[in-house]
Amino acid sequence: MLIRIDPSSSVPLGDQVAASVRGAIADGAVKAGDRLPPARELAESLGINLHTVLRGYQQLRDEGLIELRRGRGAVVADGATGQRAELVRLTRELVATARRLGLAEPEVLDLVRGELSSR
Amino acid sequence: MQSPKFVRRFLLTLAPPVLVLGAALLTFHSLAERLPDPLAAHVGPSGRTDSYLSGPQLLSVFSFPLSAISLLCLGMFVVARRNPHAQRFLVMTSFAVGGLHAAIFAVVMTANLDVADARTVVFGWWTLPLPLLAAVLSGALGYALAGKVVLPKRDDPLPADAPRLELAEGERVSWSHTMTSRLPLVGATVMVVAALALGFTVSWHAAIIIVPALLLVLTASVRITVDGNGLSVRSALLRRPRKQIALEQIKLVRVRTVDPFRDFGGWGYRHRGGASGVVLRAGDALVVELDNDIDFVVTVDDADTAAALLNSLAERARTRD
Repeated sequence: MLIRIDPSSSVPLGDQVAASVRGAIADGAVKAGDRLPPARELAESLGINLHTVLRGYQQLRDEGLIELRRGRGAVVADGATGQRAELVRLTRELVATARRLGLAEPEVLDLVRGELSSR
Repeated sequence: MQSPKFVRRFLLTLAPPVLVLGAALLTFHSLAERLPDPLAAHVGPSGRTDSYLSGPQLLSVFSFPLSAISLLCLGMFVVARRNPHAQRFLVMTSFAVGGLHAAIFAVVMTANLDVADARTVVFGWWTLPLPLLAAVLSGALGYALAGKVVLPKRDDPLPADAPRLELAEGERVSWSHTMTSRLPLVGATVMVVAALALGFTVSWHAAIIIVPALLLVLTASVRITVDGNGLSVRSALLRRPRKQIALEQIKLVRVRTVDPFRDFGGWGYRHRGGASGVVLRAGDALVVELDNDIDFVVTVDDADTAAALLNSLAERARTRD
């Protein structure tokens, strides 16, 4: 799996790590059951802090894309299909756009709710 | 072209034998009147002196191995003028050998000092551990003084048709893949069973089979990583043993289909013809062309991405500041 980060970007490094993994799941490079590189090794390899990598991995776990198990490390979750990763990506984009437009949380939720009930 | 720090490391390799021999001669001559003749020169495992030598004999017995090893080191150093890793190792060896000899000489001189009859000389319990400690410490000092290995930039351009993967300026990348195989585990199980069976029926010495069995287990899972440090292939379990190829060593990386049996005569860490490497299955393999014209081969899934990335990283390393 290829992880790319750009230290000169304004996006936090942990988010960039998560985005790389999400991308790899989305384009099918990794599938359910595949292991992610151990956080410590990835941190050394990229020359960044271990906690930065772990932040990225925790983000992916919260999104349901990976499972973090003691002793087994990070494993791509069963339900983590390419489409699901794509959905997570779109959701993040939605939230980012809403923030940029200055929308409050209830407004964003109303928007999504409205869209969900429209069909 | 010789590597940077060549002269410094050459002088560091030369210094220990010259200093130790010089110091030994000076010490011997300044202490000659306080030493017995012959001297107690060697102590056996029983702790009793088992060899007596005259002063000149002692000096020649002392300087011959030191000079021989040092000349060998210097000869190998010239051969390794482009190999900074080998240079660092030779500096370390020269320091360790020098430290060992200096301590042995000091121990022999101290034991003989102000003794009228060499037969009364007593060697302390520290006669063996002290020189060994001195060897380890001075070896470590030599390793540190030899300086970090910085490989020179390559001046040959990466071939235009080499596969590449676009990298942004300052972007950091890490590609890794873990190759797991059950074959080594099966082999290791068979060996452990054999060790137990032989152990109970023939001799407990058969337990030694467990060592290769453990080594085999370490190869069951191999992680291949491509990043700013180059290519690394290592056991995923213990992270050692490990094979590392720096970006500066890489001429070109290609992808080739490998048949373990036909191309390498088997599986595992193989060396045959113009190639060596880690061959764990049939199929696509990363082929790294090196300066010694021996390709390093490692079978890995998604070798295309790894090859393109490694080429681009190696190309970037050629133009770094």
